[in-house]
Amino acid sequence: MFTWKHICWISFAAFHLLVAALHAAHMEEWPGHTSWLMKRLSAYGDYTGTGNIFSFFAPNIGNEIAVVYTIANKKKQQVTRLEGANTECNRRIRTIYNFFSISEAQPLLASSCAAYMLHRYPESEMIRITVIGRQVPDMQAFRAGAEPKWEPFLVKDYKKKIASR
Amino acid sequence: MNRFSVLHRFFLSPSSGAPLAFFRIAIALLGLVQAGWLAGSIALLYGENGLVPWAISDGIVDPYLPQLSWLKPVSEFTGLSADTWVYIIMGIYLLSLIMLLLGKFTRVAAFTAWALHMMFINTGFMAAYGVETFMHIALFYCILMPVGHVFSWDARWRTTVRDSEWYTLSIRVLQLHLCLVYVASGVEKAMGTQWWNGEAIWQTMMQGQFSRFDMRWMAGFPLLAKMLGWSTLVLETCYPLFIWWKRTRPYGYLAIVMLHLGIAVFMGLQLFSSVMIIFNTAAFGWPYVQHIYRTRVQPLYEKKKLHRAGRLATQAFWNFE
Repeated sequence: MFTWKHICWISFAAFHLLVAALHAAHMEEWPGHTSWLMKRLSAYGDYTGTGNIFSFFAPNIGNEIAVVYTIANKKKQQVTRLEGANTECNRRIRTIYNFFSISEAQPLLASSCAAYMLHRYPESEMIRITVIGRQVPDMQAFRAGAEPKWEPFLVKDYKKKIASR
Repeated sequence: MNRFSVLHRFFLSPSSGAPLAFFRIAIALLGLVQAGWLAGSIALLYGENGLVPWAISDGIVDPYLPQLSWLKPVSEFTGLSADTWVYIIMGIYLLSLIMLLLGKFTRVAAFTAWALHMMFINTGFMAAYGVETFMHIALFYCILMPVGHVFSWDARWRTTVRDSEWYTLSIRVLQLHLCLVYVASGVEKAMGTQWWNGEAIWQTMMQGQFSRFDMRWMAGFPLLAKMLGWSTLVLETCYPLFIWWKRTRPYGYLAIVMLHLGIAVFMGLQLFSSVMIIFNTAAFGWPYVQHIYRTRVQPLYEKKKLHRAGRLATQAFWNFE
């Protein structure tokens, strides 16, 4: 026998899974996604974890992206990277760098990376951000002798503003 | 048998709470491992002046979602730096995970962990990947589902552990959610050509961020890459079929665990693989884990106990002599 408590919880479960299914089907890209109902469903998805799409490594694999920082002041210059020994932290840094593949995000992301490095190296006066992408040839080209190569696709210089006296 | 009784049996036939207890304990442990792993990088990933500073995440993330930038007024009021508050929040998050692990004030602990975890993933949304997605889903389920009824501090005085329909309903939700995840993931992959011609496997294995071994030799065996790509597509898109049918379920569960172990070993995504294995085990695999424990591990303990008893008996006999 179904009790009212059963019916309420099963209905809630059905609603919850329906929202998860709608989001997985890219509901937020549908026409009318800005309607009142869609906005509420989107907020529900954000809070409950039902607002995700599951496009891990899909539909294709993007290029690997890395950032090289050149830090300089009047006395010295050094080239460094942010990645260290912590693999889990490196993965997250790389996940952030992947946003460089979106051209609209590049200026903002580059300046925030530069700001972080200026903060980390307070003695520096100039930071050069070099964003490089790794092109991996397909298997056929690799067999024919092509090799994976890193190619810079964004270079930006940032100078520390020194307050004038 | 009418439709309602089929529905009733599917959602509400009483079952054990052990898989949900496993879910709670494993998720809390994973959260602790993850937090420990990232402890040294909190300021970089989530700090006010981190790689993606609050000024940027604030402008992108919807204002109704909890974020660490909400701590700014607290920081100004207390005089402590914003980053110090981030560490304090991380400490409370860890504490709530420990409480969740122990099953003490389970729902409160799950709620706290879920809310604080959301603050971290919203602030560091650009650094988040699959493991955060599933931790968020899992912590929300830990609030609503009866995950603290078995193997928990809260239940330590409970003498009898009864099967309940609420455990079944919760497991059904986990199962259906997982089916949805795999089908969606499989369909998204199937829309790209790289998964059909094996290039997805090749490209992934050749990326420094994922590859753990030198896999250049794979270019000489394109059929192998293609087969791996196809098996991933079949495993994901057909997941509901083989996992629901009881005859194929153990093999399906094993195959999906192997897939995630492969991801952990070959791509270094240990945390993501672990969270997926936890979900799969709680939803479908618990009876098999239990069976293996009862048939393989328990006899070993019993053998050890018998051996010890035999030794003690012999000793007692000689002492008596």
